[in-house]
Amino acid sequence: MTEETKLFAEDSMLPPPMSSELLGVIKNIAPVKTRRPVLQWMIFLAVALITGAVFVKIYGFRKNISQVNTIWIVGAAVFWAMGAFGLSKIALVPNKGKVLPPFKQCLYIALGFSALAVVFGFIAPKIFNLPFSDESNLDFAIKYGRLCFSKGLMIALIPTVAGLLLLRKTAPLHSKKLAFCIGAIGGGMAGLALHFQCILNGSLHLSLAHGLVIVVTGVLAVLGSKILVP
Amino acid sequence: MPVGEISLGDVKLEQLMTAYCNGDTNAFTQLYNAIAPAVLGYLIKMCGEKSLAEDLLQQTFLKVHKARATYISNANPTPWIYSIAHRTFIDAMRKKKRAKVVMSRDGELADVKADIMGRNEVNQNLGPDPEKLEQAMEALSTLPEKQRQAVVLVKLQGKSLQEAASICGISVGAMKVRAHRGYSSLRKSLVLEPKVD
Repeated sequence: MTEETKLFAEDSMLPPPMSSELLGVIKNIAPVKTRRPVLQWMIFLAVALITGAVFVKIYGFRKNISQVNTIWIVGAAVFWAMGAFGLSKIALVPNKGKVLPPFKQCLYIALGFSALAVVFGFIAPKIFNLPFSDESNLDFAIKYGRLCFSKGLMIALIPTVAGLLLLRKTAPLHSKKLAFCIGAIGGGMAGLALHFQCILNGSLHLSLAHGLVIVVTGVLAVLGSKILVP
Repeated sequence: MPVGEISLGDVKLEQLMTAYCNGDTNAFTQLYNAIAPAVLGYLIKMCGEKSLAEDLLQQTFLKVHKARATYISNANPTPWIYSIAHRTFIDAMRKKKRAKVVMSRDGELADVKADIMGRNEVNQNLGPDPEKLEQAMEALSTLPEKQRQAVVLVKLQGKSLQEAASICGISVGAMKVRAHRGYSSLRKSLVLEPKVD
């Protein structure tokens, strides 16, 4: 019987000796401050909200707010905020007694949030009969679409990078899922800021320029997912 | 208590981990003594080589040490340490490019169908017969990586579905399905293999 076979059959073995490298490392263990998820979540939300507020301050608050359906203004703001806040809570604050967040849940909710943002952006102008919804001028649509999309990416990248830094080394497995989720949160924050700044209400504009930011930031965040692996 | 973990009396792993993060070397040693045997058993079953598993165990604890600041005080460290062990195992497999494990393009370990053909019939009830144990090990190594992980954790290491799911970052239901499928495949490959003339 080989040694592996013996060990396969019997699990209750003695602990193997520590390697010299491990012994050397633990000779003088420096005390460290352990992760405080709620504090990190608060920091993350503060960074995201300040980024969004600064952006709205620089580019100006939505000028046509009085002309737009109040239910749309409030409803869309709640959708963006709840999506981003809720996702950030799941990704940054693991359940009580756990070190790891529910990775798959993070991914599924992020994907659902992205899909909803794109679909809802597309159908909302028709439902709420929003003004400035004419997109017959393609040049106009592309020009302002690109402008909003690039602004959205700029806003989204700051909370995304902050989230990746706050969660560095926290995901031994499923780091890409968590990274996508963080990107989607950044994108959600960007959607919220754009909602309070941009006066355009075209279906394609809301869907592709505002909504798609979530997906793109999510994919960009996946590129930085290595930072999450210990 | 899961197989291979040493009793610590009233001291909980959470307390040891917290003490270790506060700079207590003795707590680290106790934690190592408590968890290392089970993690080693897990790694042996995952990679099938004792020397490699021992090396991976040391790497796992080095990673735990480097990432200890990401631990959350008073949380159960076991699923976290197992996750780090599994990451270490995946990284080692990638380095070695072993034929047993096939990687997909997105970097995850892809599911491969178990080869159940061309081996002799084996009794279902595995005794201490070394030949049968070796066959069981071989059969285990042919399981898709995710199913193998589920079988090792739930069926061989005696972890609860909840704990195993927590280690793998999946739901309890998904873990149950994985473990069941893995166990069924394992049984098939050990019992239902056709005789080779």
